[in-house]
Amino acid sequence: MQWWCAAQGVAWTWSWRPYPGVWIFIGLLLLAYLRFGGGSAASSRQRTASFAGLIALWVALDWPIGALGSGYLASLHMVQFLLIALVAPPLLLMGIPAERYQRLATWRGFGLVRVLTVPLVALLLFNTVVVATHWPGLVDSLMSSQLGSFVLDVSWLLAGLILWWPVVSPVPDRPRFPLGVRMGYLIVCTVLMTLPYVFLTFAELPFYATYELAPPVGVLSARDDQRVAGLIMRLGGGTILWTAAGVLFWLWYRRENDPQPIRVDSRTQSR
Amino acid sequence: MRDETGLAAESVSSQTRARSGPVLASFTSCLAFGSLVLSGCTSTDESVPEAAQSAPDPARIEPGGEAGGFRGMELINPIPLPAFTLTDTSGEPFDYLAETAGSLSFLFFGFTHCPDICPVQLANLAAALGDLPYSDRRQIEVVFVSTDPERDTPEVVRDYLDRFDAEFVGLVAPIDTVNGLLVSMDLPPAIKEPVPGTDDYTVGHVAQIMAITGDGLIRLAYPGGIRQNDWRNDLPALLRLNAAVAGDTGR
Repeated sequence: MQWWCAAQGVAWTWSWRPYPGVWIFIGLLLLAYLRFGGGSAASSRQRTASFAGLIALWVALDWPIGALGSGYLASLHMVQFLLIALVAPPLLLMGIPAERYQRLATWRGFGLVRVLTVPLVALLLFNTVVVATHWPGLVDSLMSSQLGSFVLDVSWLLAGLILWWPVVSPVPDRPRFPLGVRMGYLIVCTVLMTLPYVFLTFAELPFYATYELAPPVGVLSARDDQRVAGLIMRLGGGTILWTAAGVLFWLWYRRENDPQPIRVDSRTQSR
Repeated sequence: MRDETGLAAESVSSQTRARSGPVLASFTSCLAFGSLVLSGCTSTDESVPEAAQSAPDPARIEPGGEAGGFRGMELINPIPLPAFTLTDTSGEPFDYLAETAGSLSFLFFGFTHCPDICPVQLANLAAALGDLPYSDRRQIEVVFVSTDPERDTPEVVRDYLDRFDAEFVGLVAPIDTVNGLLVSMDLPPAIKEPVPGTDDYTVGHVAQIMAITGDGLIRLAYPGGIRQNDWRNDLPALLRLNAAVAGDTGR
């Protein structure tokens, strides 16, 4: 039995397979949220956000998307990336009440978090992880083992949390990172993610041995699968980031036109 | 599960070989030719009669690699392909040596229900051939011999090959004929193996594609794990080799 999805080289079947490591991982995150993340202190909206983030992670990591993405289809590998790095992190962060963030800020290790979540650092770190974790040699090395696949998935999640932290977190230590700049931050991120997209979409040959040599699933050739992966990164990633930028614009617009400070604004701006 | 385990080992090792560059560089250090050629769909050493496991002497094979110019497994002493005639998918006899005389050809044994090695091998070769200029492509023949005549009717084989390249030639024959051919080439015969818990079966067979020059000599073998980039590297060199052979032999 496999505990985590990884490339196995066996023919794909639609028979369900259990991945206990994924369940344990999601279960631990849920427990951590309920115990330390403010589960009971959180509003129903925050709890919904966190649970949605956990579900996004679960879908990305478990059968069938996790299994197909880790060993058969580059396009689904990209879907995994979007769910793990761009969808789940903001939802998980939005689910944590401000009071818990403030408590976290008193933690000794928070200094590192503060450094990593400086917007410029976060932006560079996230995009470095994106490029590195789409590098063919590294992907092929990691995806062939469960531990390697786990490392890849966790690195995406951590990079995503770091990227989204300055945008979503209500910790009041970023007074010079207003909504307008946050929009720019996300838009710059879409530009930086263009690099792997270009390589994936316009490459003449398949990059990844993992997917080129995988037992075929569906009708896509290895080259087409890779092109679809690039398009998913571009269109899916762009949609997520631009949607978030749009939400920020809407918040900014409301703040500018509403004499009463809205709730999100008061958390993110007034402290 | 036994089958899957064997297959997984093959696939992973194949990928590792392909990623690490020249295929035979690692082949010579860790695998014997016999075990490599046996690594077809679900085939295992134990499932093949000992006599049939005889394979070309590894000393007859040399690494391809950048130095040798090839990424396939180059035979130090090329092996003559036995003369044989099988039936193609249009029902016509296909005399291999006569039909491919002067051309570079690739010979592959497989079956249309193969879930892993066969479609990957054929897809990667087809993709690389598709990148060649037409003038080069027309000098190359690809011949697929079914190792599963029970299910692979000529129509089934034709439909299957058309998914990769309509120019690929498909040959069918009784399994005894196919196995006799394999054994005459010092390759293990195809083995029909039941899939546990089902009425289905799979076929263990050689996984390599053999490159044969127009003089009827097997020059190189391309095991599972060969990538499109490897083909792109080797095809022009193989065409040059074939042209040189044709010049020598006047074919």
